[in-house]
Amino acid sequence: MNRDFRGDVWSYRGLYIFLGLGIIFLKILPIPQTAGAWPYPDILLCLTMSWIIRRPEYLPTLLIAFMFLLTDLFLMRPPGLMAFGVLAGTEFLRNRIYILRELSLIGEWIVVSLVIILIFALTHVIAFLTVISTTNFGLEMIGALTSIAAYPLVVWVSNAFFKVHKPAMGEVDERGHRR
Amino acid sequence: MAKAPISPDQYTKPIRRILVGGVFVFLLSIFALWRVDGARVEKFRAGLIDRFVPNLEWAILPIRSVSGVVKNFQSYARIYEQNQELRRELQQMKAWKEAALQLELKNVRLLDLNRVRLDSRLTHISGVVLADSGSPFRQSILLNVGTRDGIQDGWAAMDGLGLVGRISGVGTRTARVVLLTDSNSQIPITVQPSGQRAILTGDNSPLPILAFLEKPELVRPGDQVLSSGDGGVFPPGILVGTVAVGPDRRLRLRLSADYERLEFLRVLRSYALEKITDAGGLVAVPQPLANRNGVLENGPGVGRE
Repeated sequence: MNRDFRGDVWSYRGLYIFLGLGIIFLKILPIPQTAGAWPYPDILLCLTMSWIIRRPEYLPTLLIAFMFLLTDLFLMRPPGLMAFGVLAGTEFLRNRIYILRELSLIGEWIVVSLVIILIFALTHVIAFLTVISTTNFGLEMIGALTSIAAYPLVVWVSNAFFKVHKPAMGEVDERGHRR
Repeated sequence: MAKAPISPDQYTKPIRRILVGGVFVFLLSIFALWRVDGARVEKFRAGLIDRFVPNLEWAILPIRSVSGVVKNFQSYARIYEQNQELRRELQQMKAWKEAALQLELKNVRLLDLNRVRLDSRLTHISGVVLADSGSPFRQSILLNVGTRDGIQDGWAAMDGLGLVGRISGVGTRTARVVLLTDSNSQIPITVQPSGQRAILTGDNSPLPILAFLEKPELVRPGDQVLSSGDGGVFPPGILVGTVAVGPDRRLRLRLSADYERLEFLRVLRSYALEKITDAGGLVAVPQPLANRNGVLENGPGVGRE
């Protein structure tokens, strides 16, 4: 029986949008966080990274750009900056999926943490070059580290609850291509 | 000879690359637009937030009150000590209330003696904190009052204890308050009792920095800091905090406003007074605004209900 029908992909995209909006909502809740406290992990970033490696067709480029542009706008960040960085990171990963799929979880974790650190560094460098008042680089890197630390948890939740896993051997989509 | 079949990917890949490149350029151009013409993009952002966040009020407020319950639950264990503490504080407050009443009487008598005519006392608009900025790097909060309640850019916001921040970005239903701890926040202040002027600069830490002090040796920890009226738009005389020395030996400010418990804020109305540039010109008194019901608001304590 053909389990993979087009509707499957779109329902996962809808799930991504729903999760993204939910995460934005949780972030703007007025639960006080003192200035200079350690930032919470960027769950949306971890989610995007884990889904890109496992099922890149669930996250078309435009969807990622749109979602991160929205978070930039709602979270009072320079609009487009983080979206640009994340898009660069996901395109980098998307072109190397077949290599990444061969890695174990630890290898994948290392690659993703490097990409996350590079994304944060890239956004910081662009902000510095365009003379925006930048936040403390150390605090931003701590934010990157907390996101990296949360990555395996997000992978586990995606796998267990949302059934986003790497395609098994022999799994093909309806055009006969290996997914 | 058999030719290798052309897979459809060979056509889609270059097109895809062009499209992805286009998305990159689009995002960069939005960023460049924000950098070059920040006001327009910020207006768009304020409009977007204004459109969507108040609709979530029904979800935000209950969650916020639940988190308040959780925080209070942690203090149930010390309920007896808290009770004693509160009783003691209440006695102190009663004594201060008496002192304040005496001083007010004295003030009125002295002003009357000097025939000084003051501006009508500052009125305020009350608002509830709806949302915050979502990251510890940008300290700002969203209030549920906007242009339809008469809020304008640049007005001061305070809670009952002290100055909280400044309005920057107003929508129809919401207004954004940039807190004093945000790195973009700069407020002109006076340090009492030396009377020196300084600028309070936020640096994303819980204690903002006092900058541009002429004689820092005259300032001691524990001195009171009020807002000066420099610039004309920010109202003078609002309590901001007390001086403290940070771990880096710089003069910082311990804010009197309770940033951990920001719920109800008052936005103080102030109208920029015209500066006297030439002798002999008339200085017009700013016209008080009528609120929605056409009633002139006067006196503090009559906020927006």
